[in-house]
Amino acid sequence: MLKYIKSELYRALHSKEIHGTAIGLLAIVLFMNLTLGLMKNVEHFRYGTTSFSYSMLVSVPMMYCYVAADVAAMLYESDRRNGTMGNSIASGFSRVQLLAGKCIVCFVVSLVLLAVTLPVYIGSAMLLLNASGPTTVRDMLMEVPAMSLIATGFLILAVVLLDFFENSFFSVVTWLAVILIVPKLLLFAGMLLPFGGDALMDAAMWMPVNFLTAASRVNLSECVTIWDTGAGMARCLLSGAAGILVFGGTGVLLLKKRDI
Amino acid sequence: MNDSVIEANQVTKKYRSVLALDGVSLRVSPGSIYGLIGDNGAGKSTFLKLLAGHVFPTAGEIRLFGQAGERELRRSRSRMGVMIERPGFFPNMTVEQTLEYYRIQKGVPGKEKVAELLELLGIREKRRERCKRLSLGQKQRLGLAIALLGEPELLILDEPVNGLDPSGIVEFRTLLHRLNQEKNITILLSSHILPELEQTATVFGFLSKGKLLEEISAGDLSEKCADRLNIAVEDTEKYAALLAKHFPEENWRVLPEGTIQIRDFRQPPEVYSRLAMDNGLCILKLERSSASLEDYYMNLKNGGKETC
Repeated sequence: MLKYIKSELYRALHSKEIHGTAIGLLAIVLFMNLTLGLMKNVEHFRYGTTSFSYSMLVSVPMMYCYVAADVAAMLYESDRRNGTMGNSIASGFSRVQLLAGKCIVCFVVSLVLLAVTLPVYIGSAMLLLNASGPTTVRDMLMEVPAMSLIATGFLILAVVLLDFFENSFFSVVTWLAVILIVPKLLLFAGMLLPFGGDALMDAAMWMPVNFLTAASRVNLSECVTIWDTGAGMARCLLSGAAGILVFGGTGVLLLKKRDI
Repeated sequence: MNDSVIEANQVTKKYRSVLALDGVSLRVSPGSIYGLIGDNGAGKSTFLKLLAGHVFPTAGEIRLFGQAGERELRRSRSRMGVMIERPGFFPNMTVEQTLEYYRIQKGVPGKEKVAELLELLGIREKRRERCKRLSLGQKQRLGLAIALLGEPELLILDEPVNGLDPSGIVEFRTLLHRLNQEKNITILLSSHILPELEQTATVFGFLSKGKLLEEISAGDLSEKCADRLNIAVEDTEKYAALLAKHFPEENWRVLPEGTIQIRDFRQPPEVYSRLAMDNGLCILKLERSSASLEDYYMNLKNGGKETC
């Protein structure tokens, strides 16, 4: 499996799409901070602060999941269609080894993108903006461990779905349904059901999109995040770990004996 | 000790309700070039995919290098090079990067192997070209280069000459013979181009509707498709009567255009021409020919029991 991972890392290193994503992310954060910096001296403009800049990411922690899934899609969206997966299988790799290898490669690439983007994000904000407001560098840095397992779980789900469906459109729709629609439906069902609704709501509140939204208040006057407390951080980590196990296990079951 | 590189025992593959392979049993001996022949949908690609691990058999057993069982088959596959249906590559990577990617994946030491294969397959000038910009023939060459990485002992190629120009086909045939003879690589290939296959393979397997109709060596095939003599005379009916009278043991038939074809003729050709001339018949044509693999296949497919 190590050989497969090494070859995939070589590919990621030479992938125009990955380079493009890195450049795109850097351009977005630089453009945002530069624009805020240029506007900070304009009268009544309240957003030229590091807090506002940081809050753009702190208030949308699911961004980590979207970027991770995007990396998976860029690397593996056409793996089966291109016949590259068939070549790897014919070289003697099992489907489970390929699945694990792909997840590891996506994780590493996502981590590299984060390691490149985050310092530029924070550094440019510190250089260009007024250091004030409730959202701090600490909130942003604590978001990384809080979201790491959740994003990894959803990344695994993306890899599994890209392998499972021949059509990437179905992969994207199913992925969005699992991370966004199903949790919301469960939550609403829990609210509406006269019996058993509490149990359903409790279950729904272990799903990231629900508990991240419910426990966070990030705006110009306050910054409350779920990872501020030990219990909140534990919920993030436990939910993420459960996601890794569930999606990874499902992937193994679905793909172990699948014809390509 | 098992001496087959590939051994399939009663292999069946069903795709939902479609029976793609129905109890196929065949063996490929080391050092042979095995040509798999069949129409579209006969099950050729499915069989090759089973060997490559792309699909799983519904029933039956496959052995590669004498090994059966999932884990053992996977290990055996590292000794194979495969190109099925189309070469697998990443459209935006260059030819050189693609080969380097597979070199790392197959654990082949030394980057010089990539340069060697680029040279061998005649795509050195294209090494910095993105794969998506290659012609069909160049893609096939790249696919073969990928298959040859890792010094395979067995090559599995599905329609490998697709997209190659005539000189490319000749080069490809020469290359396969060289690989087979110099490196002792066993080759299993399928092709629609039977004349091409006839010049390449040493053993033929005929698949039709998921069943293996026959396996035959090139030697046995040429024996079965022995010489024929085609004679065109002024009066076909008269000559046919003469043939029946003088050589009742001969196997002959009148072809639609009026030519008389004698199969496995027992006399020297001049005997048949003298028979015509002695009876006042003018010979319009007299030629020797042998049946092709194509004739043999068509006859076999149509359930024929004739030699060719």
